[in-house]
Amino acid sequence: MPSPLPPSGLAGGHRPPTQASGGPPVRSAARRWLPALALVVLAAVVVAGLAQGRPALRDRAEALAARLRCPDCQSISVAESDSQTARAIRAEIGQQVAAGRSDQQVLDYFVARYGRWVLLDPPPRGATLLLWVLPVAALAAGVGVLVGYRRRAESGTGDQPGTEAEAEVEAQTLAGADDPGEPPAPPGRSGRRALAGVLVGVVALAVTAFGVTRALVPRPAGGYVTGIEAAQASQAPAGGRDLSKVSDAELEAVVAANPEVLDMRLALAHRYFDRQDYRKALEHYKAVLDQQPHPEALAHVGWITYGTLDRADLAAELLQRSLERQPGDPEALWFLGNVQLHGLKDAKAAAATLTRLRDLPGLSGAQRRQVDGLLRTARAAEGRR
Amino acid sequence: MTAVHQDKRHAGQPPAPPPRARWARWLAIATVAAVVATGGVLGARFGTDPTLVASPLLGKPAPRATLPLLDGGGQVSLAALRGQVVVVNFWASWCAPCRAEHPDLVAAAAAYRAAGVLFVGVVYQDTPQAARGFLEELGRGQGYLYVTDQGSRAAIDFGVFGIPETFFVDRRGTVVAKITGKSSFPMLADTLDQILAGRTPESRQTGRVQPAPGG
Repeated sequence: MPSPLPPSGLAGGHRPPTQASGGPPVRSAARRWLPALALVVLAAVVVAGLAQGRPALRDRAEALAARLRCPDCQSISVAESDSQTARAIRAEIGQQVAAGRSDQQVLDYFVARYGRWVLLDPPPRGATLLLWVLPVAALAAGVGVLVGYRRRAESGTGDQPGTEAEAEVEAQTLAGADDPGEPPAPPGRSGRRALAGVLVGVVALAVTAFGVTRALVPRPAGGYVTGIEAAQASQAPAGGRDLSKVSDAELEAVVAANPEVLDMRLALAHRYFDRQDYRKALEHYKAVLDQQPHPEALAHVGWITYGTLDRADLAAELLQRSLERQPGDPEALWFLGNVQLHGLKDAKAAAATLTRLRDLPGLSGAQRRQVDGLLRTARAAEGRR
Repeated sequence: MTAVHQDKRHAGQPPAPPPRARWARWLAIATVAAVVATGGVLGARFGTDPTLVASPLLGKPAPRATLPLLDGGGQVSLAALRGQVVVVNFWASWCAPCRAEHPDLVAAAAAYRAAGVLFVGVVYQDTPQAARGFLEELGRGQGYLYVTDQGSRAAIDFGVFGIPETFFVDRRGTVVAKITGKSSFPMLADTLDQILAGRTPESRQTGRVQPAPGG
């Protein structure tokens, strides 16, 4: 077993009698400095890894945006959010930075409007002072415990084995097993073993720390804060989860338990819609619309309005609102074309809508033929007038 | 401390429990106590609504925004409205509580028009078409100014978290009250009465505000 320590002449059991009173100076010096050395090496590795691996913030404006909390999001910074408010705040930061205002001036500007809440770093006073003090206190306590532990172990060596530090106890036992006839057992071999263990641990930690810091990658534009797209890409290569195997009752339960997860509710509503259970579909579309004017919900409510209430005017309005939010939605265009042609008897508008739909990229051949069919009907009706 | 324990040991006293165990036990108790205390202090904040913060604008001069009118040309300068009591309400067609409070705002605007109170409705993150549709459906207030806020500059100046939020500006141009969430006629009337009487009204939170879609 190679050891970086100079041989202290203990391996063969030629142990000087002074050992009990103090221990060899070389070994105790190594024990004293090894933890400190390990800490320094680890810190250096982490710093080096971060310096190389972390993408630099593009500029001051982005650094400032990262320090501000997005007002209409859940616990993410202005830099990470794509909400309209976050975009407006980023624009404001950009202007102020360009105007030569200091970081503190820019932060103060937003604190004056949103309060200290807008700063992501918790203020170092009041209850949140704990967040700043505790890590330092924990570190100090840990160092204190280590120092006390080592001092005790050193001063107690060979004195009273029963009250020694655990490592020492273990070392004595191990050594005793090697040389059963020799009390007190020489700690040389076991010391080296412990040293090797520590070294292996330090190397493993260093490798882990370096690997983690190098694994940091810039988030793709519009990506999630959690980086979940990596997991999603590996799990579901095409189009998200497969909900087809989930029963209505299960989906209802999930939706009821997570009323704010709109995609799930929309999937359930679409399912009822496809089955022409418009009453249940409408219930869920309305629940979605209570939370936000989701274009798909608007379009489907519009179609149901036309189909069940025969209110073509209202249906067309809802479909127009859906298309305002999502202009190229083929489903909404198809609904609107039908409502305009059959409900409003406005063949010209229907033809325009259907032409818009026909020109969309990504329609399948069958869909295109369907659209062409209705478009011909619309043009014929237009010509008749 | 270490020395004391060892002295005892040397003196031949029975070391039960062993000193290290006692020391470690105290350390463990202290650690658990620290963790529980920290968790309690910080965890107690989980239930609170982060948007429930008093506006730092209260008592400060109102932002001096100039905003284009929703209908027709022309614009409204909030700074130029000094001398009147101004109610600034942020709303949008996609906001459910805004729909609910709309009749109350219109009624309050009519009731306090003679007292020199001006209502300004700022369209928050909505298209002008949708906003106009909302007003055509629910009706416009008499003398009520509806303005747009492209790029949300005014919303940021007022520190808007979500809508509806209603700010009250007194005759000297100072923000004196804020209603966060849905307002009602009695609430608006009470606040305006106090401002007109020269007292400082209370601000209130009536419910959650609705953040912009897609946030």
